[in-house]
Amino acid sequence: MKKSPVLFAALALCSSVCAQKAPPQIQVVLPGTHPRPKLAAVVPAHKPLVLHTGRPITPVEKTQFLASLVRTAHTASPAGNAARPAVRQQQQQQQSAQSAQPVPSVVTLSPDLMYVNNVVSLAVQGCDTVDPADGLIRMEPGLPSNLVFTVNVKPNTAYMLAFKVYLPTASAQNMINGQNVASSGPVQFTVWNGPSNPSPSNPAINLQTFNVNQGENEFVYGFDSTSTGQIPVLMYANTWWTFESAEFTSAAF
Amino acid sequence: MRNFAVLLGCSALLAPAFAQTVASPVTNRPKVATVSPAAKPVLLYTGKPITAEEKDKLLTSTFQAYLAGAPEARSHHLNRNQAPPPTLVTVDKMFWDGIVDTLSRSPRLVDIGAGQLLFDEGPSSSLTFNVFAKKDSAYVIGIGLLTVETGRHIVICVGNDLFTCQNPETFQTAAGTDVIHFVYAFIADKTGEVPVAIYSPDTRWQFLSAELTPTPF
Repeated sequence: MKKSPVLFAALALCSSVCAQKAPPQIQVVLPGTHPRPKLAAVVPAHKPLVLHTGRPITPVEKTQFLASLVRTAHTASPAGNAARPAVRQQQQQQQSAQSAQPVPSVVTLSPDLMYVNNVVSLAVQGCDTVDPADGLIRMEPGLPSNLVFTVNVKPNTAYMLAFKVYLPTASAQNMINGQNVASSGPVQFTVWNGPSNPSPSNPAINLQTFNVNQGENEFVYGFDSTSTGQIPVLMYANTWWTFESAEFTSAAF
Repeated sequence: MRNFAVLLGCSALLAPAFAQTVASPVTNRPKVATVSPAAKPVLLYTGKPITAEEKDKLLTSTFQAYLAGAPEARSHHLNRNQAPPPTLVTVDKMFWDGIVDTLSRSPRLVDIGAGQLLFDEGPSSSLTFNVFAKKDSAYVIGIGLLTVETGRHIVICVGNDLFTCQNPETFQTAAGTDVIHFVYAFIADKTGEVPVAIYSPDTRWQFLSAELTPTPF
């Protein structure tokens, strides 16, 4: 009878030691080194606009493009902000309280700078090469090779992404692993707001397809937001292409 | 009328912002010649994090192995006092001008904001470190990875192309351990770029970090 407490204590000790020696859990989902709280996924307030002129986009064109986004926002909801100054003022106060540091109005994403904290980030899936020192991300044809820009949006703000991409021209220099990667036929870019594997519950929204030229290309994509959250912008092409940079502009209105 | 004023204000605000923007981030750096290590590189994997003492021993043994095959260099000594501080390569900072840059080939996912640089299994999905080696220097690279499956294999070699790379070294990762630390050391007797490539033939993996330490001799 006297041995019972001793046995009990030994058993308790043994069980705790055994519990500590359990085999380590193997993480199948890779966690990353920057765990961040995710904002809610939201959608643009209006259908995004695309501008591709076949030439480099000038600063004036960018300004006009952004202005047209703002105009669309006002035209489509005339009873919106102007009719509710108190609500707008409250939203602006909330915005300034949420951001500890002032957010630059223009930042340029590149293969060497793929995210700006709490502003915009770029994820690359299924690409051929990432070479930050040479400033290029080479993408393969088709949806499996895509870029996703995740824009952290705020209410009553217009967003514009000015892309610089390169599409191989028909020359001997555009061989990859013995394959000529020059595009033949019309080159199309597809852009939407949504995941790379859209489903009925998580669809591709605002799908747009537009033609671009071989060689260096610039085009501008923009939208406005009336809510706080994250808007993904997915893009891919039907040919090999190289992402060079994306100039990201936000403007509250 | 109110909209027009907003547009005008918007344009005035944006004009200087555009003027400040750098036009193109693409760098056209001069290419340096690719060189081979002076002796066979040496790999150390213990199944545990590599200690500073183990790294130093690896550096010494790699240097001694080089001296054994290079009688003309026997008067040289490792000059640890003149070693520059280590360079840390992370997902956030994948190249250091003039020291080391990286090339990710067919990565599964690159999401720098989430700290993820994920590779598929197989030699076509690989990460190459281009080390800008200086003449008469020893280099130690400590690499940290996370593997999806444990007890699988990692291959490291010198070369631009994993299908023709030199001196491939393969090790099996410890069962039950998904965070992998290993060290690779080589000697440079010429100035130039030494490409060091890694891949896994049988598991997906994620790059965590690499620390490059040069030691002149």
